[in-house]
Amino acid sequence: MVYQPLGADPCPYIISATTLEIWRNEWAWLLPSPKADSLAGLSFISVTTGLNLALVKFELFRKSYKDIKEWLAEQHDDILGKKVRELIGFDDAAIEDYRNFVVAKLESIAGTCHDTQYKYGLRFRRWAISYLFIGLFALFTQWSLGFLGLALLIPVFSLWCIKTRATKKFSRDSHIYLEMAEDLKKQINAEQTAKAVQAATLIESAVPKPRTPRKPPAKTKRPVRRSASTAAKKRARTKAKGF
Amino acid sequence: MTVKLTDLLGYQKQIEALFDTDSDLIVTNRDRDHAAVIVSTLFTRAKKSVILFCKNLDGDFYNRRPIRCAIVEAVKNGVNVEILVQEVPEANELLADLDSLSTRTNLRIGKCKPGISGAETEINFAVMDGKAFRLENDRNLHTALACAKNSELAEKLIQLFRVFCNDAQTIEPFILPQTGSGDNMDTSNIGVDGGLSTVGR
Repeated sequence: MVYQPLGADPCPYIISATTLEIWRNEWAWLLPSPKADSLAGLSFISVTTGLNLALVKFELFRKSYKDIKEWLAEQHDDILGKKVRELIGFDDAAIEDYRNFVVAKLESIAGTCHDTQYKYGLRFRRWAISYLFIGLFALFTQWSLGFLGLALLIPVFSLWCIKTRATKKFSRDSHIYLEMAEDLKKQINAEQTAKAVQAATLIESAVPKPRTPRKPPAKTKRPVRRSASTAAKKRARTKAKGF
Repeated sequence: MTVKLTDLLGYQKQIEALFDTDSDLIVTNRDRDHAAVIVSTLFTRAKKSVILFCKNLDGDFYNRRPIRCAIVEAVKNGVNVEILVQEVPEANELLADLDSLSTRTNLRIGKCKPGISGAETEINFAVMDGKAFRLENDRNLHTALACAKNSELAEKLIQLFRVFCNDAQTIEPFILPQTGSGDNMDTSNIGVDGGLSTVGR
């Protein structure tokens, strides 16, 4: 393509010819030219690589958060074990609190991940589309894409920041969540022992105590005191009856 | 109401999971609805025997269809069902159902005589197959401890039940109340028969 001389462009491009000329002078080493030292090819590769990199990172990021609930649930189960999993849903106050906590926490973590993914995806798409148009424009006008290759580092860095921040938050939340699970495990173990003891105590308290048989009052023969005259009378009566 | 029903179904699911896995976890129940879930599960899952020691076979509770069906089915399936009450039983519908099964020898019902320890004790319980139990720790609030597999505590409860039963003096016959709904509502005496009495006319 032959460029129009400065100021003589009857059909101005989106970027004015003056600007283009300035850029051409300043960034000559990046601009495409028929000469062998042009970096146009390299620039194009850098743009496509950058975009691909961002795309791959996005896909990885999305994949890593796809199974977040399952991962958390697995961790949770590993810590608490079967017993406590069974308990979630029962009616002890502590379990009720914990159940609410688990639900809220999972929703919060999943929500954060969803938001982050959304933000990442949105930003990625916006940049990808913008750069695609600019890149196409540059390609058609045979302008260097080296610019874009360099500029693409900014969104990549920005996306990396979002991902890092989200990962940190996720790690912190997961840690708190799993710590709570550990605490609950201890609490429930203690409660189980207490319940078993309570049940045993209740049963013991209901066992009827053996009745101790009443001791019969000691039979002490009361000596019959008879006066001498009474005994004499009795003897006399017996004799009289002829026994 | 929907929330409550969902909650109850969830609770039932959890309880059944405990029984499926023979869990030794001791759980609690907080109200009559949850108690009904556990009691009906005990009778439904029973293979050999169920003993039930309760205050008076509360009509509001034991006349509920799931519990009645569970008890009747257990008796029909040949499970040894022994029921000992502390006071005059109130669950007329259940008793009427049981009366229709009076020919069965695996059903025994008795009532403690007033004044003896069995009649005065505060705890009520049910034990299934010598391993699962429900032990009521507060009769007024209907809160209880329950477990799908704890042979040690279940054995203690069975021994306690036998203590209450074995003394023939502690058992007295009672008359099935009339509901007036049919012929099978005749007064049927439950005679003393070495401890618990076999239901019979």
